Amino acid sequence: MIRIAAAGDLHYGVDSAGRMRPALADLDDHADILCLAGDLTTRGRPEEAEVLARELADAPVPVVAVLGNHDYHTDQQQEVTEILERAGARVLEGTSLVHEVNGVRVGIAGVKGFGGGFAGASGSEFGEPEMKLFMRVTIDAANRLDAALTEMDADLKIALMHFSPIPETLEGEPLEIYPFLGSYLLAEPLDKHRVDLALHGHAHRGDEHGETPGGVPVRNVAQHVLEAPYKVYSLDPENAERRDRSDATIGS
Amino acid sequence: MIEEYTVEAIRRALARDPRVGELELDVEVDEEAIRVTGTLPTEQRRDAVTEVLEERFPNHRVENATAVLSPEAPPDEEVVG
Repeated sequence: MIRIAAAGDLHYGVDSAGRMRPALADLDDHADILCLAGDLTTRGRPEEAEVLARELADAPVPVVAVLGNHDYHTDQQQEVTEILERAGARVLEGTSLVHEVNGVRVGIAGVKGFGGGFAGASGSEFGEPEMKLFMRVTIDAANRLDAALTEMDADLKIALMHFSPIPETLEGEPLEIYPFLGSYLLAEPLDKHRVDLALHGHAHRGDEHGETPGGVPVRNVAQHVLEAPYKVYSLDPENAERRDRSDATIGS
Repeated sequence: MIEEYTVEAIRRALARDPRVGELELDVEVDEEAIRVTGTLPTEQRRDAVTEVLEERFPNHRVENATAVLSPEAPPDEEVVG
């Protein structure tokens, strides 16, 4: 089994020093990789990222992250990325990486994503320039996720986002804010590429479990939802291989 | 101020004030009191909720019912596939 630890919405500030240390200390007993689903800082300030980076530098497993909306708040997302990467974490944005775990190639494609809403109630690239720009940001994010998944050569495929690709994992949030919490456009590449697990954060009052229309398991890993520093998702690479063979048969 | 506008003024204050910086807190308000629920990452930010609201809305009593995430909860595991 491949064990993926995941958490989102850490909201680190200068008052957060040591918050993740107890969880990180024995992480390698529980997991092979740690995925962080955005909102790593509260206001996207470099000094907040430095506090988290000091703790991630000692993580006993590879750390893979995407940024969230909070990490963009003070327009210093590039510095936040660089600080985390200097500590050894990999920050994905329309990119992917592959880690080999016990001979299994575990691929992770990541994008922050954006809002827009869900099928039947989605915003459109129509009307005022501001509305078109809003939706183009999401369309662009979905296209970059698609491209990252296309280039990724892996036995197990994981998608890491901050915004949600489905409405089910938002249940508990006010319906009125769903368009600010995610977009169905992010789900399309997950189904197209038969991703094995999709992770997101952002919705503190949401629900942990859901799946895309095509059956990809989606988990909302905001710490507020997990009520824990992280959760471990175990995946059997042989099941993924069987699914891929079955898809190939159906497609032939 | 009309109650609905006050709720948003409070939520805006909690999001914008650097001592808190949280968007997903639930706020209820009446003529006398503001009640805030939700979860915060640290004790300091939980205390800052009270501090910010007492400064900004001195005519209301602040009921800070927010919780703080535990950094030491044991990890849960799920077999996904």
